[in-house]
Amino acid sequence: MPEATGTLRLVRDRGVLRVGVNDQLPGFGFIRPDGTFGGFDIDFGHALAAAIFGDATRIEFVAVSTSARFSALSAGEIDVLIRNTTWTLSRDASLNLTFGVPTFYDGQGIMVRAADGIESIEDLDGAVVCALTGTTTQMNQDDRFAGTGVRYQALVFDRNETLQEAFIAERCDAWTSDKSQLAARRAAFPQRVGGPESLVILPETLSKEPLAPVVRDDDPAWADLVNWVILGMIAADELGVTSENLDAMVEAPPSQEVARLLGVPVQGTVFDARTGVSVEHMRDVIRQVGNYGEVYERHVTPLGIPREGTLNALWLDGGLMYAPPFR
Amino acid sequence: MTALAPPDVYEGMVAWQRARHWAHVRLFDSRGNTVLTLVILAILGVLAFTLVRWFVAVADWEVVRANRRLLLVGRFPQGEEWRIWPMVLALPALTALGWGAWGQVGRRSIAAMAIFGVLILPLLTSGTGWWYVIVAAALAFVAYRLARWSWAYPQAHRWVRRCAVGGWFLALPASLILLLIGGGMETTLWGGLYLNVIVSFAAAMGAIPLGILLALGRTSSYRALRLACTMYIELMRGLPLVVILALAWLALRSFLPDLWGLDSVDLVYRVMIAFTMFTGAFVAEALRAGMAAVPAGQREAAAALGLKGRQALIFIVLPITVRNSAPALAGEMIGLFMSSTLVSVVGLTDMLQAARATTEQPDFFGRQTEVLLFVGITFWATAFGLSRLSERVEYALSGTRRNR
Repeated sequence: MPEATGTLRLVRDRGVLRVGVNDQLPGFGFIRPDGTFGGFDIDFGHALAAAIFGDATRIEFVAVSTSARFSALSAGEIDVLIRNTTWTLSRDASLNLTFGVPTFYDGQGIMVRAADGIESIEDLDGAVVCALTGTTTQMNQDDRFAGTGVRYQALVFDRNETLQEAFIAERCDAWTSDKSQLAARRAAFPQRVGGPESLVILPETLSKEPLAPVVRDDDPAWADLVNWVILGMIAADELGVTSENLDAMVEAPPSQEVARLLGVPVQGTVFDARTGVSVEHMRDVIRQVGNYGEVYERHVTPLGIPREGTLNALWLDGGLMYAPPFR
Repeated sequence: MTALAPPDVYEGMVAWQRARHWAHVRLFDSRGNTVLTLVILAILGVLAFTLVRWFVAVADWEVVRANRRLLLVGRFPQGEEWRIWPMVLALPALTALGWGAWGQVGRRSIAAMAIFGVLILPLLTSGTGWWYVIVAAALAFVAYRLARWSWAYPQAHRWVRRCAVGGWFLALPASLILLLIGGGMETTLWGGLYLNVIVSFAAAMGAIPLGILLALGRTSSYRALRLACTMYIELMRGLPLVVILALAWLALRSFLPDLWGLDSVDLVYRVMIAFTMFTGAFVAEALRAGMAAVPAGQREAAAALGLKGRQALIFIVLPITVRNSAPALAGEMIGLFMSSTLVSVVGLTDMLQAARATTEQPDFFGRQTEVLLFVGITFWATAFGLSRLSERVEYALSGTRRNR
């Protein structure tokens, strides 16, 4: 193992990576009945542990609330925050924290009952819109709402569960949240009250929600490592390296870029970017966790959000997932 | 002249005749009352029907069954259950020993426990779990019989009481040792109901001695000591528990120097200390009230007997204080157990937090009523058991003979 400093050294000495996560976000961070964490965000934590220790299980998840997440990171209770956190200017600038590469591009959407015949935001005039605490301000500031002159009445809840009850009881005409969450709720909407087909998610996206990992901004080397593990997973997706074909790729890399990504010697020399971890770290990441596409398929596709045509597709397919070159 | 007993209206009646008479006199004695009775019966009937229908037809308890492990022990790793089972077996036995040593369990309590067991256990247990339940019940029964038997032999009875008290004092260190020996458990993996129990247990063990010291300090004749204790108590009582927990979690390390490596103390221990400090202040006030209620004559009598200040305190004042404060202290302890659900604000997965997490599993969306109800029932049952136990101890301490 190469010498390490700062956060990386702290993590190595401790022997376990501490990641702040959500424990109540379907598909992204939740606790399974057996007590283990699962989800899209969780897998990026595992990937980081695999890169650092060669073992994705040397990780401790700390369930942090929306309000405590940044303080927990600043205080050093966690090494990295991967908890559906939107990258915004004010957070980045004022908190002594730094945001990494977005792992997921989300956006606020609106879900309505199919029977109501609402097709776009313009039809929502006079409607009761239910939202979780903290998301309405975004709605108020949103140009789309202000510009159309649509008046609505907001009804605010602190938990999705209670919001869903209110929606079923028809106390709300529309339900607003991040689109990924609306899709998850829709896919699991109880059959006794109509099932998924009774709901429609409007095509409009009200806000940009790039969800990114967060680290303290006093350790750029650590931020680089976090970023390049994620970028490595995106690059592996682009280059077609999966957990299935990894051994074959290591045996005979189809291109120099694949060889550099996986730490396979090219003409006798191994590419070493000196990120502080083993040159073969991406092999552990891909073997134990998978590439970006595999993680997406595992957690987000089952929520009912196909990847094609969204911002989360590879740049080659018209999305925003793009890794700078590995050289 | 002797007072005459009121005539027994039920004399010579069999049970159903008594019931009919009672109903006639109490419920149907006039036309107005008959209407009132029928209306109330109808309302109660509809309520009962709705409730039963919800329980039987609407509620889907699978969310509790599937997540029982998460609710009880949180994220405790598979294969490490042996660290918990001894306590699961020991605590009911200790409770039963205490019940038997200080009183008697009435038929109604037994019936309530049986109904509760029949309703709850099938949700929580399967396979080998049933054996543990059977062994735990058998141990509790043996402990109870032993304690009851000992009433006939004063020497043995004293020993049984000592064992019951000592057992509770040993239970906490024993459970902590079990969690930590042999490679140990990461404290971040402690969770579920077990976390609530162990945090409140530890805080109770710490808060009572702390409270005694604070109460003595606040009533002391040394002005500086009195002032310091008063300030501490008022500070702790004035801060919301959530704030104290948040301070213990994140803030202390940012403005306190890292003395003796305190910053790297595991979060669970910091939380236990926070609960101890908070509850200690309330315990101190409960004790101070009890101390104020000690009749002056008791101190004077102690002095007249030649007891020195400290002796009078230990042998006369403190016992009466504890007796006076016992109901308030029991209330504090039950409150402490309820407040232990606040540990979720510092990122620990206690039973309530686990319950909230389960309703965000896609399989169980919309099942929060069932799981919250389950958590509520569990907490209620635990608190009820505690309050019954403390009632026994109160009677025993109060010196009145009441053996029920």
